[in-house]
Amino acid sequence: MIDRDLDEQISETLNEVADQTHADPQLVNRLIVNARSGRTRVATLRWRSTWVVPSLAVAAVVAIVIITILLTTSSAAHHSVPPASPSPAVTQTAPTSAAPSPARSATPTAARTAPASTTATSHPASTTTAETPSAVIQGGQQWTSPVLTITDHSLGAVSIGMSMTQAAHAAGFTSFTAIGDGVSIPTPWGPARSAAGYPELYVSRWAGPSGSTQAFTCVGAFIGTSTTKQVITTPEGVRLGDPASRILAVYGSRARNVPALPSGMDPVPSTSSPTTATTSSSNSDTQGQQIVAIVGGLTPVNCVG
Amino acid sequence: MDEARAFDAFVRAHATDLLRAATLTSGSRERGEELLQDTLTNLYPQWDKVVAADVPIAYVRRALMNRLISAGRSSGSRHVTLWDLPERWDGNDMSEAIATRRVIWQLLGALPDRQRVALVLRYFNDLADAQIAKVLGCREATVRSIISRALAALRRDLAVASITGKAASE
Repeated sequence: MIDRDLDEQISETLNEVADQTHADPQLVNRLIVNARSGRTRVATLRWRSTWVVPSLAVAAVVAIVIITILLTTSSAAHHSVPPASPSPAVTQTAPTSAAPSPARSATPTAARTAPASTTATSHPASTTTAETPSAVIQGGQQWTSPVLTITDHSLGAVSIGMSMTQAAHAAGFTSFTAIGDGVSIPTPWGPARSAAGYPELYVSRWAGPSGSTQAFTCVGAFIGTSTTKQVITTPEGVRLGDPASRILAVYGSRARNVPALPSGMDPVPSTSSPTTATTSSSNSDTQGQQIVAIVGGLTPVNCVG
Repeated sequence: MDEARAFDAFVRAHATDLLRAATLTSGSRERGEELLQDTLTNLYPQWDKVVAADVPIAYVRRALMNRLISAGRSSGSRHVTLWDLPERWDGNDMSEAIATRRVIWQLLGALPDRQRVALVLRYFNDLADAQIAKVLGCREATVRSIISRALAALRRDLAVASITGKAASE
């Protein structure tokens, strides 16, 4: 066994192992997303889970900022224009600890009545604040649109309350594909889309007490590898990929900070309202905190983990 | 944002090279992924330093090896004595060459981290002693000593494995 030159045998052994080792695009995506969100573990994140990185990353984080805006009928009566949509909730994360269990919170949240499907396009530009980019808040946005608006209950033309078929058609596709953890993405989207520089878009079903009758209870978008190809924005103009400071700049005192629990179970804000959207952000370094996810849903905190 | 793009581009270009280095030094694909993720996550906040390095890939490789070695020192559990076998070796092909590689692979896992890293850098990355010294943060003479001891240990253990293997087959 040692007749042959040992140097040669070591070299052959190492090269043969190396030949069997390739970083596929899915792993590369995971490496990038995890590094950006400060996550030091990769093994538990298989491809499908990268679609719920908002959940996983946020579970690991130090702080959650929730911004709540209540939509009430009375408020509508007091305004000459329809009320500004939703109560975006913003999650700000820190990379100081490895993400714990991605288990979803079982904490109950305030129940709400799902909006009728007809509300998917019910937020015209006039409902937005002065900070709203002019390019956004167009009704009927398909998910291939270069600019997509996310509210507390909709992502583009896809609105909570729709069936999966309706949602797929609204998004501009024929169907959704379930990829696990209650998350569904348009068929045939996959990792290649993220690799091409698009954010990840999905609907998900949180089967909690308030969402049990809905086909899906959350809509969301998060940064895949880049956001250069598509803009995801709240009605107020907070965009995926913006610096986290943008949250406070836009929402001001409406932002609320909710620390994530060490267990990875997110606390649920007691004021979680029917009109809450959630934005989550994680920082990968101390200088540049970045918004990496925006979600909306019946119980938005559950939508991010 | 430019640094984020630079990071993306770097990872996409060098992920396989780095994963191979991580796998060879840590003993399995799974541990290699973890080591690489840990290294990239820790480097990302200071990616400007990586970009500014003379050879960024060498900088990252050095960080990767250092994380492996320092983790081994701090964990208390010294070496992985039984490494995961590559998939191709798990089949029925038990030719002598494959059998020898399996043994060598396992024996590499029994070496101290610094010795194993030095061997990987020399025999896989084809680095000169001076370059290996930079990675390990030591002098060239120390590198030669480390490699010499590693090879001696491998020869000894390989001889033992050969004898016990023959005895078992008789």
